[in-house]
Amino acid sequence: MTLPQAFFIVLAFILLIYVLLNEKRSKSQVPFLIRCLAGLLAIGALSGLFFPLKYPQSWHTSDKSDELVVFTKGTPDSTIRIATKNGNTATTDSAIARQHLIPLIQNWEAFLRQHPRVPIALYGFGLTRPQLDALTDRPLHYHAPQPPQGFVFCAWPLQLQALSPLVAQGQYNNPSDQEVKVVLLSANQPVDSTIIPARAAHAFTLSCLPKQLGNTLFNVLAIAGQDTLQHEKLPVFINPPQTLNVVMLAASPSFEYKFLGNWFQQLRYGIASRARISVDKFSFTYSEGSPLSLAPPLDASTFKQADLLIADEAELAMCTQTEQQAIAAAVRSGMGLLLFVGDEKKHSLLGQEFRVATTSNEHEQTIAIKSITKQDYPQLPIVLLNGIQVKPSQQPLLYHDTQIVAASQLYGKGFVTAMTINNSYSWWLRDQQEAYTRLWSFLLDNTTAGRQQALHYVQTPHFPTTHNWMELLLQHPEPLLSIDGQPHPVLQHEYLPELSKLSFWPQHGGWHSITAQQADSAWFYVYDQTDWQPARDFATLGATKAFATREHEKLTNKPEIEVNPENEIPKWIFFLLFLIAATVLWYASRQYNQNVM
Amino acid sequence: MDSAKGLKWISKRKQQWLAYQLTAKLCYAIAATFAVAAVLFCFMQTPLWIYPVICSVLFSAMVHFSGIAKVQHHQIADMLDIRFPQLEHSASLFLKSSESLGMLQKLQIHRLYQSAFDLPVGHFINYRILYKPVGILLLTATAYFIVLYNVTPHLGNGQVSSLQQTANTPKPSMDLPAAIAAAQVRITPPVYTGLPKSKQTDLSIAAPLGSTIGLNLTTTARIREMALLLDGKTTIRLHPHDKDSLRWDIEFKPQKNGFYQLSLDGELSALYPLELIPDLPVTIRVSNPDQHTVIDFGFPETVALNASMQDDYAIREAQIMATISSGKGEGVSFKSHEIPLRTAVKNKKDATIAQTIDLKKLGMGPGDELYFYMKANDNAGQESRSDVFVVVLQDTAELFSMSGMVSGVDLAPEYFRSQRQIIIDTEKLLAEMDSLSTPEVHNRSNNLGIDQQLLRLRYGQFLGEEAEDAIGGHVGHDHGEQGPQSLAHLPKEEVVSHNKVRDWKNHDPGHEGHENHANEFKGEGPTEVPINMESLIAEMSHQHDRAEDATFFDAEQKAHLKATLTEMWNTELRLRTYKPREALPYAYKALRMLKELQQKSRVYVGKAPTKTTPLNPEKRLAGDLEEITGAEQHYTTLENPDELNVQQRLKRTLAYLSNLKTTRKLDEMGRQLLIEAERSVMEAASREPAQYLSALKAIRLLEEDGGENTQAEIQLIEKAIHELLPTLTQQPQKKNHVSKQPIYQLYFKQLTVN
Repeated sequence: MTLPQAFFIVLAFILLIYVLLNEKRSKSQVPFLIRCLAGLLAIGALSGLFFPLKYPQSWHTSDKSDELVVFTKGTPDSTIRIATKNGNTATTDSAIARQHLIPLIQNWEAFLRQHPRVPIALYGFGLTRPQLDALTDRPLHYHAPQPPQGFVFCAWPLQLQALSPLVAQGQYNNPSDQEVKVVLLSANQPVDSTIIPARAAHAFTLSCLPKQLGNTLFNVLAIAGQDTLQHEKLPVFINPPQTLNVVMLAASPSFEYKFLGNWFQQLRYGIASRARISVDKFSFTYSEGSPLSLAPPLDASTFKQADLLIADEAELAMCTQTEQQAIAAAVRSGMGLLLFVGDEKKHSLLGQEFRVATTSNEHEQTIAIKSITKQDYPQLPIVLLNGIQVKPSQQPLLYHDTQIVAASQLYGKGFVTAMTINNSYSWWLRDQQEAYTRLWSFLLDNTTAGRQQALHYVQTPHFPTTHNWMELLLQHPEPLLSIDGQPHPVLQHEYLPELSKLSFWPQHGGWHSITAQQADSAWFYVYDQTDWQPARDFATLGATKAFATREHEKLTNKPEIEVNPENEIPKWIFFLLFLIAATVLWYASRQYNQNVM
Repeated sequence: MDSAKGLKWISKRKQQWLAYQLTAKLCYAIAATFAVAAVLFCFMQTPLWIYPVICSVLFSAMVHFSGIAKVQHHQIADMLDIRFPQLEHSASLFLKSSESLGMLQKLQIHRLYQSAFDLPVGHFINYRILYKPVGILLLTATAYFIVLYNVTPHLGNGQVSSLQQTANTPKPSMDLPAAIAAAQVRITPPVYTGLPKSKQTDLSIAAPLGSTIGLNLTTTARIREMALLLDGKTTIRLHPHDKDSLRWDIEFKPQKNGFYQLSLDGELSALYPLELIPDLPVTIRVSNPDQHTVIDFGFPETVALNASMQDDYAIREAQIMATISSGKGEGVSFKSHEIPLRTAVKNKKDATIAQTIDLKKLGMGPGDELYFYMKANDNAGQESRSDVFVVVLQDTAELFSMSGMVSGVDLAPEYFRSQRQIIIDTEKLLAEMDSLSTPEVHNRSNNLGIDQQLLRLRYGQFLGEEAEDAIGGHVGHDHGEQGPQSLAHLPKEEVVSHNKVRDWKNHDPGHEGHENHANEFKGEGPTEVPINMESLIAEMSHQHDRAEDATFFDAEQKAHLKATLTEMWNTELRLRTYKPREALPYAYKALRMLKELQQKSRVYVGKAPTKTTPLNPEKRLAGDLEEITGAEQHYTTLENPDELNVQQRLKRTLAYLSNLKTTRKLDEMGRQLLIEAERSVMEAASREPAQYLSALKAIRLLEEDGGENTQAEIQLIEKAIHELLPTLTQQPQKKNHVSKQPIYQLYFKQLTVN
């Protein structure tokens, strides 16, 4: 017992004595006994208000050991008809309640309190996360239905750079006897499609090169014959194309640099190129308006704005130590370096990390290259092929059979990529520009690092809907962010200071912007209630299954502990009793009741 | 009553009967015509005049085969007797003359006279007979119209529509503006097309290029001014036809595709397409000869030219332009000829050319080459040319030359000389044929055939065919102990050379001294084909002889070698059948193909004389680089710098439209984007109105509606912008991002410490 409780007891006792003595002294038409009882009741009610009085649970309801059947959305009608015969059913879905005249659960927590410790048999797709959390430590039997028909899962990049391919991967559940065609639409034009066989849950991959810029809604359709079974949105925010500042240092004028320069020119990149003609003689080529100068000596200011340096290993080896240090510092700061390596005897500071082995390919006139992402490239004529012997810290990028012809290594914040192929321009001459752009896009993607700080986020759930909770996990340390211009506070992640959490209940569907103070804004999309229904149902089903499995393991592993659960008596009862007692005492103290002889 | 009246009565009944029967037959014929027309309409467009012809043919056939026209009076009388019992089977009495009738017959006629005319004729023949034929007619007519309006639009007509049909094909007519009561468009095509003038009320204009378009408009009320706005840029005023300003007209000659609007007192109408059908030049297709033809020695020196020409309107003229090159190296000379066509092509739309070009008449000799192409002009003066075809007369002297073979780089195997030797020997035989006896000629020819065979077999080895020592023979093989069990019982025969076989075959038993070795020739001669059937079967199942296993040549070379072997076989066939003169062309052809095969992988470039800058001995080997300065160049500025900005804006518009389908509300930013997109679409519509005009209209409608109820318009605009944007290629992206947090900076820094 605490001090306040003891003090209260003393006070209550004193008050009781005072009330009894007072009533004994006063004369009233109301009998003394009743007045005493009223006083006692009033003080008892006060005590009940002050102290939490409890009673064992077994007094409140009959502890039914029968299961309580709860139907959620997705329960088959046949199951409902069978289960309702046994009684004790309820549902969280208003449609089921209307159709089968089953009680609808308006408040899940209150419902659980009404049925404490009653095992629940759950049918349908399942419950939401808060509802599942309320079921902790309660016996739960989950009867999962068949997965819903349609797109049960789909993932795609929510933010994309311009001229990057959009790849959407997912799974479609087709329980019907008919094939289903899944089509990706861009600007209402079909750009990719695949066939899902009958009676199968099949994964699919759809891709396209978007022509749009900004907030864009793509569409994915599921068609069976002439019928459109499902039509969903794929919102993607496409960032404007980036430009790179490229510096090229060639040991000798070559076609590879010539064609690379032309390609960069088409992409409107800033280019500064230097080719060695003789020991101290160079030829320079710059893009229009370039303030750069590649005349020796090269220093840190040369590479300050450069995103990428393409150089011959031989050329770098001929640079002075200071120049090589400047290049290394720039790479450490985030500049990408792509080296054409061969069997040079002298190595540069960064090129010495790559060991090149000469292999003879007498019988081969052409080689076929494959990337680590399993992209194939056309045949390339080659005279002598050098392979790279990678170290554990190096990642292979391109292969020919088992030989590695390009590899990349992290150096500070930048990447150094070494490549032994220097005649990819042959593809351009053979009218295979697509392979050329693919190869170089792949190489440069793995070599250049972003410098601009952008706002990255991860949204939960995967398909947020209106008026429902959603959370954004942002990679931004700002304490305040604004959504659609309205400021929203963020909560810092418990362990990772870089990350922040933002909870949000969107009021309307469509695009919403997130803006931080020193970064670009990002966009996220909120769906309507009817969008991606099968996928959301499938996610609910998965979450409920996982929860039921975890709970089942917990309950089977839990030791047998005798527990006498108790319930607290509601305070309003005591308040009512106090009022009644006070009323009686007041009535007894009225003038017309006094002075009774 | 006299019989004349009775006859008249029967004749009248006959006419009535005939009339109804013919009407019924006509109904059947028309019904059958409808049925035929419905079927024909599904497959082809037939002219309307054919249907009356079909109907009349069917009607005539029905009448003829039913025998209606040959009905006689007595048949009518019989029908009347059957129909009317009151006539007591005596109607035929009316047909007889009074004089031929007896008393009883006259009495009968008198009795019938009264009742006959009272008979209800309608019971004999009336309109009810037409119920069935008319019913069938109505049914078939209904079926015909159902097919005409509902089924045939979904089926294609097999005919290719001509230009005139395209011009006259009904298009969905554009609504006239409210202020325009009537409109007439007069299209006057250029005279050379030969097309007639046309008139239409539809304001969508499709006319041949160069046409003059006349527009005549009648307004509902007086208008102060009316103008034509072409492609949204050019304004042409219309002239009022009369003082009341209700009729306006204009004539103009558009130069390119586009669209136009009418401006009535400043108010613009809808967009109308203006499509100009270009006059394409003559299309020339040459089916024969091939692009490169070689005429070998012994083959006729002619080239059969087969070609076809088509033009939109008419071909004016066509010729064959030929150039002959003679000589080699610096001594080459060229002569040009213009060969007229034997087929008349003037004023024809389609012409088929079949002509033989005689190379001798053109003055070509061995080694000369003919380059020719066909040239044609159409009525509009446009010239078109076919590909250039090359015909080479093989020079046999060059075949025998050793040029290109003794360079020592790639040693030519000696097989090549054998073919030349066979040709030399064959020519020698031909030269000496007159002085030799027939058996001797046959013998030598046969020997040459055998040599050719041997050569063919040697080459055949490369294709995995028969071995050198025997045709399909299993002889001479030594499998050792690992040989297949099925062949173990076969004896190893001695190697039989072809010389031995030849000697055996050609041996003359009657020669002197035959008795000395007659025993050798008593038994069976050596054969190239094993006699034992089992061995024959075993050879067929042997694993060695597989063409696919040969790996010396690639597929193209193997095909060429097979063709060479075929020519060798043709040569051998004729040599062995004692026709050496006929064999010679094939031998030359085989030699040419062998040479081509050998030189296939080589590219010969003629040595051109070069002039080099004379060396300065003072500077030579001095190593002085002072005058060499590093060049500084700039990448050339790309053309159309604004094009990128326009594309960026179109891309943003495309993204905006994808959201507009959901939001259904056009905001200010969207209006701006649409205005800019409208400019691009307008330019595209002026080039290709058929493709982009609907999108231009959709943009304007979208701006008016503000985004509501405009799903179809949004889709049209999206499609148009999607087509306007170029096909994109992948571009490098900066993907990796490193945070500026100190801990991450320190981490990456530590990565490079060592």
